[in-house]
Amino acid sequence: MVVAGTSDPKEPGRAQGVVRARGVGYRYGDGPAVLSEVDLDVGVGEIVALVGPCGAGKSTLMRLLASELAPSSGLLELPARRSSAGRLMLGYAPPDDPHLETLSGRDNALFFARAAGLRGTEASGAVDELMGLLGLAGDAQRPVADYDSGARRRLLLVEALAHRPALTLLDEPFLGLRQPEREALIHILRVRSAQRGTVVVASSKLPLLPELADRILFMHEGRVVRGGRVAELLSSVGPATRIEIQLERRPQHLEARFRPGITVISHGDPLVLESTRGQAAVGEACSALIAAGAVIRSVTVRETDLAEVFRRVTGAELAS
Amino acid sequence: MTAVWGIEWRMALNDRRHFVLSALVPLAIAAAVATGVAAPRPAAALYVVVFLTFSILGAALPLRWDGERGIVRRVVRGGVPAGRYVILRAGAGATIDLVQLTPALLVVALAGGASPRAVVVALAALALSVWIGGLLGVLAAAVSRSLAETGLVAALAVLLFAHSAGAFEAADAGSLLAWIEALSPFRVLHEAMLDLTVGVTPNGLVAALLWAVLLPSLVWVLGDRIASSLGRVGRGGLAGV
Repeated sequence: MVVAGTSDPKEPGRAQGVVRARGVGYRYGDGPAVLSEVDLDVGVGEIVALVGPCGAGKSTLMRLLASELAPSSGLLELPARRSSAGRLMLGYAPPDDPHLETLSGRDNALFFARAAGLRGTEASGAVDELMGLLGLAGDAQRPVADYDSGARRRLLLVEALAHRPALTLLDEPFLGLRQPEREALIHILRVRSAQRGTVVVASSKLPLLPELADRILFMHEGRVVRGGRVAELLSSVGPATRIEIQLERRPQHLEARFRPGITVISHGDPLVLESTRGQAAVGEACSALIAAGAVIRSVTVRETDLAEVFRRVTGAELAS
Repeated sequence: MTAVWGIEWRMALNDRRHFVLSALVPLAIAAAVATGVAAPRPAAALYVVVFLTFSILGAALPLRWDGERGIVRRVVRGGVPAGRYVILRAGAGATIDLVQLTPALLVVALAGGASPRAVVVALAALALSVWIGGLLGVLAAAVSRSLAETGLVAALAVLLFAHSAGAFEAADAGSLLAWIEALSPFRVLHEAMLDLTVGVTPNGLVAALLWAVLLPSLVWVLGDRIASSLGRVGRGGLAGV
């Protein structure tokens, strides 16, 4: 069930883009559930990132939040479709979406900005500014039919952002963006957030998310399995160093070789150890292995990062 | 509102080759028939079929295509109410059709030695007909399930509505066909085309005006369902998900 919000000023939170999901599920036709029991709260001005591997349900959840789909079960509360001033409250950029191919990128963006409630110079000013920031100024007058996939992605972002929606939903927004444009997008979204705009992004670009998101939600197999601020997520699994060692020759009874504080996570290739004693444990583990007759081919040390947290929470790898 | 109208015109003009061909083909057909030996009634029937084909098929196929590739869904999600979008699109398409079909009509008038009054009446009938035809094209796109099916449904609509206008058969007074003809939105077009060559007084203007008002009302009411059948759209939009 979807509950449309209101632009009533007595409910300022609802008016400005709060999302609330309780037990939301979704299945395509008679297929298996692609989302199950999703609970989600996104506050005014918050930037939330949905993170998960392909097939985790991120894009389906985004489509539900964009009202492209209706939940099969549960309750979903979304902001009003339009503000009391007639402005569209939602800006949604899916990974791919069609354009009016024979028109220029600028004309496309202007059309959607006007459809969203912007007028005249307000629309052209917003479109021109965003096209400049996202590296499309030089392509503005070219037909979209001539755009490459990266330019199309950036145009979708312009169209989703131009009318300053209360709720912005960006699915894989960093795809097709070069570094300056990524930085520009993060800056734009942080400014929008400071102006009480709510943002939800679905992304697999983990290195960019700590800079952008206030909260990160891990999704796995259609569920939100853990969420919180970056620091909370990192501390939730405890300080740990992951040591991956590839061996030419493997001694017997590996566990017995290591002192307390070093744990064998995987006996496979590579041998995966975990230590609560930081990088000091790396030399110690290697020494123990060599003393036992092992021949070490390579050693990789990883401090706990979000990908590691995800791995520990779900047992699955997060391709990023 | 004007944004939809404006982009439809801009897209039509951007594809100049298609725009010119859409004017040249009916002009060529009309010129060949009007300067040949065809009798007035079959000639008028052919003009009606050509004009209805351009308006009904010409509205239905691009709309279905845009629906299937997600443009309709995008526009509705982007803030344009579904009913308003398809009506404005049909309206813009009708004005484009009128510009493209007017040369053909003028050739018929010229070849038939029509009076200025008959030309004005025929142009008015053509304007009403392309508007109604465009809206019928919207419905044809909505009730079909693929681009190919849209072509077939629209072609069938062209023939049925041309027949109902009396293009293929002169109805006996009091017969069922005569009743249908009296209510036909395109009778005025058929008789106006006859008027250009043999000088009959066109009937059916009131019926056409009624269709011109009632059909957009129906399309407006059904807007969400129409857009839903063209491509899935969510809240603010459509219930078809």
